[in-house]
Amino acid sequence: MMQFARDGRREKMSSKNISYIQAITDTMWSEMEIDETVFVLGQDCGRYGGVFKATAWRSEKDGKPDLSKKMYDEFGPLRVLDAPLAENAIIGGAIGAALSGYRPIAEIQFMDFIDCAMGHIVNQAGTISFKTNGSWCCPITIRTPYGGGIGGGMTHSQSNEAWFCHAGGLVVTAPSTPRDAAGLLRSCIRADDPCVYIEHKGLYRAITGDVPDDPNFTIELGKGKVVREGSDITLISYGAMLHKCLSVAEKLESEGASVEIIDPRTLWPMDEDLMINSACKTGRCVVVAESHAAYGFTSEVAARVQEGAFWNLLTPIRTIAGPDTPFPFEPGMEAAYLPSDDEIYNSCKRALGDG
Amino acid sequence: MNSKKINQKQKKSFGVDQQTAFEVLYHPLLKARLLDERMVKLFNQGRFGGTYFSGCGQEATNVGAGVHMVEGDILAPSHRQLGAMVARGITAKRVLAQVYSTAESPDGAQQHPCHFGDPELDIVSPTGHVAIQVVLAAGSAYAYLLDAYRKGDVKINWDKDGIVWAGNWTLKKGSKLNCAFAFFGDGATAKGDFHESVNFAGIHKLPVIYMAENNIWAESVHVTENVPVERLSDRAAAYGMPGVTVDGQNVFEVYHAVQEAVERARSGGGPTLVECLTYRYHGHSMIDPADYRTDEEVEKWKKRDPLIVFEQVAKEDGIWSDKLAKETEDRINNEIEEAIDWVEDESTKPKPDQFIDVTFRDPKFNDAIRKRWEKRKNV
Repeated sequence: MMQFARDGRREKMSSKNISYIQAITDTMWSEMEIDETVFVLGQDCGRYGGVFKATAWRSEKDGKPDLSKKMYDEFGPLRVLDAPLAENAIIGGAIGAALSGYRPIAEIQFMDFIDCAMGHIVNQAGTISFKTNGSWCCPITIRTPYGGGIGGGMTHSQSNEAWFCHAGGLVVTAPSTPRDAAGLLRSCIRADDPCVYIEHKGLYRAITGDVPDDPNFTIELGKGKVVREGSDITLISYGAMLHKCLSVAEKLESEGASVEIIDPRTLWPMDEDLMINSACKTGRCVVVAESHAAYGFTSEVAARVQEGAFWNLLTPIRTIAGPDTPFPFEPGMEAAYLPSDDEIYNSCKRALGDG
Repeated sequence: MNSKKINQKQKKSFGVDQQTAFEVLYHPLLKARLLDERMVKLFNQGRFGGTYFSGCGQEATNVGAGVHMVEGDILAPSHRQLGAMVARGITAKRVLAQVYSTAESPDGAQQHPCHFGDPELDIVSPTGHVAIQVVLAAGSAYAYLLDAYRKGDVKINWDKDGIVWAGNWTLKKGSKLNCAFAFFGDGATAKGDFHESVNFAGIHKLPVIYMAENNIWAESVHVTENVPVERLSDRAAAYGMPGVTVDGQNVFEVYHAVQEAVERARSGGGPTLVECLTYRYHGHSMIDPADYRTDEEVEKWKKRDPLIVFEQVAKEDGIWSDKLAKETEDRINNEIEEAIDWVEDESTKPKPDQFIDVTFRDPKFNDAIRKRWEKRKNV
């Protein structure tokens, strides 16, 4: 397939059809090959290859994992560190290593556990540049699986990304496709700012996609993407919800509505111009996320879009978010908790009906 | 490994010669004290704002460790590490620029007084969370292990089944590791961060020097209300590292104990927890009248002031010199006076919006914040 290389030269680049989680593993693997200051640490990351196997096997040419060798075997136990069961040690340790010249990738096994290390993330990592007047940096990447829909219950399903967007000083990225997973992760690892890179665990093996085979393939942090062009209504979402929006868009399209979908890709700092411009064009906007409504992604986007697009809006901005409760376990309740295709569809229909 | 009280050798100065005693130990000890006392006065005169955290009384603990630091060693301080920083080589100008919040401050005046840090000397500016810096030190120490590993100087010793290795590595003979220095108080050892750090460093035999300053009071909470064991160094046993308790008022003793710990750490022998028995003369910060303790207690400790103890020991061991003491004092006073003149007359105020441009390293992110902030101003 024909693509543009990063330097603008037109050249043929091969790509591989791989799963979302495979894109993550392959990217870490390739960055560890290129840069020996990159290393991985986390609970169960080494010998076991991670509870989701994100730090296990690189893909072969056909995109399937090469089961003959784990990351631990390739790079050794010092660079794929089985950290103690201690989030403060993982994040605080990563910060110290970053200040001493490394680019650690710290895995927090579930985003639900990340609160244990909040002090280190918010008050240390997020303030290093600030409190050294820009002369020291903290190039850590914190990878963590988030999101519901896998029967994980209360403390294996949360979407806590807003905490980090709210902190000031952290980059927060949330890839929705294998291609974005690879490009954003490489950008996070190479960035001098501390990055929280959240992985929707429901997408790990549920989706596949083409990922360029280029060891320098990156996606610019802070840039969203129009994943589907349309003219009647703008849907803004990320993660598993983005895929629900895509299927709702198909249905609406078959009924004659033209739907534009925007994936912010980086949640903070936010590509608000992209969203505002789209809302100005379509005049209608629905924002969807499974994270909490209160002080969350949907509220923030709605606020910024209404500020920027108010005079072009034909109808109020609608938000669909997770209820502001802990995350329930029982399958019926879990389904009720997560925004559904029908809810997104109905909200769009209401918006399209107004004006 | 059991905690032990350091054996006093016959000479209380541990064989340190006169030149080393004055240049390496007495100079930073006195400089930290004179600078600290001066900053207390300047604060009380209203010459700078915020508050001030004095380390008066704790200089020997700091200097005795700080002088062992070499380039590349990270210093993870708490609030009272002026002595360690002076020993590491920070200038009076850098310190005053920080407390006066001028544009020349190493932190760009972003932090309040005594949250010192200096990237040029690998000194991390602390947060208000005591003990967080302790974890960071273990991470830096892990980086030092990786440095040696990348040079091929670390051999991993797997168990016979080839499964487990943690902490079981050996450093090539002659290879030296950098060391991380973590300072924290008795109160901080009550925090989970302390446990996670010493546990991690203990597992992997990381080159960390844990400097536990037991100054009895964590703000107003007594050490017995923070620590259930008699000695902080007793905690070391749970983490597979040696723990020692030293007289934190005697710079020679601290110097000697830390020297042993540093030699062990640099040659791959792992971390040490050094408990220093010491005392702070002022309150937690200048707004704390310290009325939770008695005057008798303060006076008792002042009789064992680090400068008095230095003079006593040096005299006993025949290395004291009035002339060198006077020369050292004059040299320090000149530096301090010059630095105060500079900070009050020539240093500059930071731009009020400077903080926006350094929040992220990627300038486009700061620009976006700036755009919104400017919009707020210009509605």
